[in-house]
Amino acid sequence: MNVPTDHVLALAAVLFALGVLGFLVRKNVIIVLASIELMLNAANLSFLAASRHWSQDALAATHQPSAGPIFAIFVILVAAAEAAVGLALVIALYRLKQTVALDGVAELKG
Amino acid sequence: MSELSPYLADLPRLAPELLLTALALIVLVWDLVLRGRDSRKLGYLTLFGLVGTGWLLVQQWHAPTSTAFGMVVIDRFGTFFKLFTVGALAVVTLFVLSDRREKKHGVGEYFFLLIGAAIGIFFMVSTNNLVLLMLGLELLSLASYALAGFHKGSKRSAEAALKYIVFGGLSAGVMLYGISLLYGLTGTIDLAAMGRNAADGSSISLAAQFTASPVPVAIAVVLVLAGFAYKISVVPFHFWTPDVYEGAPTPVTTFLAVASKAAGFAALLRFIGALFMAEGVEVAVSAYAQRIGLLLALLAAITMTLGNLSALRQTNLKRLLAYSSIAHAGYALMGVAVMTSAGFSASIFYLAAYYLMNLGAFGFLLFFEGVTGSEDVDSLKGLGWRYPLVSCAMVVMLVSLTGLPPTVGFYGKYLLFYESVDAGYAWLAVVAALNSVVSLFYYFRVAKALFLTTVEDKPRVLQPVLTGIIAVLAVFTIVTGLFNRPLQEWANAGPASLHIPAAQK
Amino acid sequence: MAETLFYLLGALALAFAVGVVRARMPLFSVLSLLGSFFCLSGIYLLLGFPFLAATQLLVYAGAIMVLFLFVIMLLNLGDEAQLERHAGLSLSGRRLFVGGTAAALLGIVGLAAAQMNTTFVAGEVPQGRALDDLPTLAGLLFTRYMLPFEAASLLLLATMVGVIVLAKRQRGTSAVEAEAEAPALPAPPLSSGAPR
Repeated sequence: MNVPTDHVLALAAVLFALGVLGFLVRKNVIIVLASIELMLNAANLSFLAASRHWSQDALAATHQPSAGPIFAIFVILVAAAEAAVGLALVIALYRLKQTVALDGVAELKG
Repeated sequence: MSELSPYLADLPRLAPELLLTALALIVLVWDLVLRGRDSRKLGYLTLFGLVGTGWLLVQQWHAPTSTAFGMVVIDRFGTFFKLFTVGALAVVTLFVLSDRREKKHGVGEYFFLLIGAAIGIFFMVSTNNLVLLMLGLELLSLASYALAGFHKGSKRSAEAALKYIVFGGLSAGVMLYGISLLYGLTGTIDLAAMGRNAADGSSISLAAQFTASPVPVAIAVVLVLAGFAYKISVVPFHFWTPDVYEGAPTPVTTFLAVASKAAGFAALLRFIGALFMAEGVEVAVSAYAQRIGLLLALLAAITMTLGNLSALRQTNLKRLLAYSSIAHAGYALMGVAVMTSAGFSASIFYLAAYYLMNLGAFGFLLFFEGVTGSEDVDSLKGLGWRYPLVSCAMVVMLVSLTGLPPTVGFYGKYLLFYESVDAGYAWLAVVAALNSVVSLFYYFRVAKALFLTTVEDKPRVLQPVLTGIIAVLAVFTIVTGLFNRPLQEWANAGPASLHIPAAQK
Repeated sequence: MAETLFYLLGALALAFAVGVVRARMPLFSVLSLLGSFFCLSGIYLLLGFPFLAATQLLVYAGAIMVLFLFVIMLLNLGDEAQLERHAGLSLSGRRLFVGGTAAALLGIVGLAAAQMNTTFVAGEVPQGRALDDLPTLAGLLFTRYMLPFEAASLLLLATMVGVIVLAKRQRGTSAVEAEAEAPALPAPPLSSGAPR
């Protein structure tokens, strides 16, 4: 596939922007967590695109092309861990308040 | 096996980390064996293990700088923060043990999670490798989320944890995306390699990218800084702080406010130091560093002002201390913003002071929660006369937090002011000075509530361990304020081991 | 051919991502996320990362998504449109805020992408070979990246304990001091409830 690296990076950037947007505008905790997953995936995509770029024969020796996929694996791991803790808290809070809205979570005020 | 052996040979140099890991596992397994009964035993075991870790760290302080596994730098900078982390963790463990509102049973995970968070801190303060930095940060974060929600039966605790994880997730996403851009720009995930130019002129360094494409570099660096800003609760990533600090159990708040925040600062210092200021970075990068410095200076000014002004109208002591900790993040950031080795030393010194005085202040908070069951400043009325030792110690902490002599807080602030003026940020020093005056009002309100009101007679609640810790911390606050030479030398060792050359004047 | 497929998958991934943000019900949001992950997995494959593509499917679609769906089903979260009432801002104010944020974000993103062009000078990107072949990756994970690997295992352990602490049902909301709680991890039947 001969797609230029910056096209892949642009795709990652737009995905990231959508994730941030979702985080900012939605109130439902589940959707907010989904938006975070979207952001982490954007990071992964850009890791892999960069890794492909640095794998070029002329560059591979002086750079670390293999760091990209390795980082991506750890990002997936972190994403899974964050989702697990986040959803556990959603369950814990739902038991107390019967809501998953971030606004309803206003026992503590500013 | 032959490929592994050089790595295995590095293991002894990770002795403190390994000991902590073993401690965490033993705590976890022992908790299972005890079936959740008598969790206090685990607390004592944790303390014992922490003393051992501290001893190992002192050994490392005298050892020459070395690198383990090609990514963990064992230098005085890291060891300094590790030692303070261990100290803070020991104090927090004692807080947990003497928290009158904490259960005595079934809380073994408390200690496991605290140790886990500390291991995360150990990695993040001592690595130049972005993978390990990210994992350390996340280990700290994930353990902190669970700790913040530890009293999940209480709505406040659960909500605090939820807020923490939601904003934590955002910052992790932003930071990781920033790191991915950095990797895309430089082709390496090693900060030291990013900072300096390769000998053969290949464009591995960030420096080459500054001239070619400044905008993506700026975006990448700012995104990564945003991740740090969340950990150290700097504006505009501070808004989770008051809620989380208020909702979390008080010992956890102490851990978050002191150990976690200082660790964030340490990682930030190492990041900026390696990327912009280490020996051998190019002139273009240093010029760029000045601009990042200006950004940080602005953030520092806004952060301290916002923290102090918000603290003014707080009636809840825990929330007040939360805003005060935001303000102090602003002060400590001053030293980073000046982008000199002396500024870094000043920042490190101030963080050491911050450990001492905030541990004391939160200890006081815990003490009075144990007495009155309330966190309101008003409920402190007249308690000063009934608990003179603790209250006097708290006054010392308040004096230090305000930044008045003869305490360590004063000397730390003096260093920060001096370095900012020296680097041409006189306006920042003025803002900080004004802020200190503002902070006097709300700190004084606490002292006033303690001493300047009448006494009611109620039975005294004795909490000898807490009293002892607070008193010792107060003594330390004054002693290190008066004899600040050793602490300053330790702080100066930090930038030196980050290979930041001293400024030529 | 592969190029067309890339742009097609990219467009689909974006469409699904918009779905994540815009969906009224959490269930649809999460399903859109799943679709986005599938498209991304295809893109990873096209970029030359078959192992990562498989991991993406296994971990995200297999584990994380199931977790999300499980929680949604467990809590019986149906139509929660009323959640979206925003407390402070009026509707127009909120639209302005969203529009402004979106514009700013897209501006930054556009700027970055435009400038990236100069950074990533067109080179011969490798084609037709896997860039993440397992022997190399595994070799690196167990030598140079051994420490992060072990740190990750610790992270997972801490997460596991944290999740159990958080999600475990508390017996009695305000626990009496002397009452012993169940241990952290799955332990033998609750015979441990005996007071000290």
